[in-house]
Amino acid sequence: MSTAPGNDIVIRLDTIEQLFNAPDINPFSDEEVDVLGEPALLRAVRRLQAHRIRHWEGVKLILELPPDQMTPDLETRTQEALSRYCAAKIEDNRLQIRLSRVRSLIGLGMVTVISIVVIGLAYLLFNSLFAGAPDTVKGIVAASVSVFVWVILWDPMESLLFNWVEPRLENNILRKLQRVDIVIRPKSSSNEARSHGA
Amino acid sequence: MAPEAAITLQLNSIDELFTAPAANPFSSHAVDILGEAGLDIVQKRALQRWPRLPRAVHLTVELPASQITPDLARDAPAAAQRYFAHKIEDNRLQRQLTIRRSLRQLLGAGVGILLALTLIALLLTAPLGWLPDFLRGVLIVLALYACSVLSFDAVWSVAFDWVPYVQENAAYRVLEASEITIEPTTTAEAGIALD
Repeated sequence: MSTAPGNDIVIRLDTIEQLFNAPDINPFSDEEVDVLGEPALLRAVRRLQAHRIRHWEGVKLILELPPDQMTPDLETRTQEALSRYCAAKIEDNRLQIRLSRVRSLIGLGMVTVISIVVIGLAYLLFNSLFAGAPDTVKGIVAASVSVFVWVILWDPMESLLFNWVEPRLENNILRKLQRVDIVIRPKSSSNEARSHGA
Repeated sequence: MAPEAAITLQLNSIDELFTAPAANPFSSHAVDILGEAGLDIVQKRALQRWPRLPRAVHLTVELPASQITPDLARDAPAAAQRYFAHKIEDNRLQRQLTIRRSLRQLLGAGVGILLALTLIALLLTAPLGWLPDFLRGVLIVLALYACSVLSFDAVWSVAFDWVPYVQENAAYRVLEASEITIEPTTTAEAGIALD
């Protein structure tokens, strides 16, 4: 996949199915989609996440196919299929975000309870067993509890704060892809494509 | 609990209920769009508002009329119930394994923490008390960090790793008690409908 000078997204395929389904890995092929064996659309989404397109107005998704794979209504059907796929994927990502949030909240709740128990125990120790202990020992216990608490709170906080970012970014790209115009054109030769950056 | 849910699933063949077909968004069937097994879609729909789950699910599987036989109408719901029962059992097993692994990890971490605390005690008392204060401080802080890092993964795993299995099983239990009917496809368009 490449973004052509006018920001158009160019994807070279052997069949239209490769847009949504991974072909077998074939590093003997010159085509990007074959080399890694990934669905071309997901690869395009990842590329678009890495190299953002600022102005989506007029951006086209150009699919290059062997001439014998092209049919008169393929553009319209692909447009509908892409829109349907993006809608389903967006919904799926939304569910993933929701479930991940609930899981993180459960995890956060549990480690918070554990932290409170540990702090409570430390407090009891300070007022009983360690009541006459030197300040150094007290300092070490307090520091241990403090480090323990922030370390076990770290992961649930991180997943709660950051796990939604990736699917949300993917959804932003999918929402934009849903609206782009699709152009299907005959595939140029690999060498020609390389000279144009595709 | 949320009210009952009615789900209609259009399939090209009964296999698609259990096995994911290749993604084919040119079709309007829900299973084809992302290439997911029918029961996975149903499970996700049931989980949509977790921890609120639908009280019951009425699943209607629509198949081409030519594929529906009296045997299929009887066997498919039984196969689905069997699938749910095995999934629940498999998830329970995985959850147990996960918890056992987490507890083993916690035990290992406990041993490591004991060693670190022993080192701290040695640094504070006679055997290593002769070391310069700066070095003792650094070693104590390192031992404290070791304790925290050792306990971190184990505690997190005990507290959290079982959750996805419980979530899935909650949905499967509702689905296990669900009513499944097989009907001939009515329209070519509606892939999945939720009431």
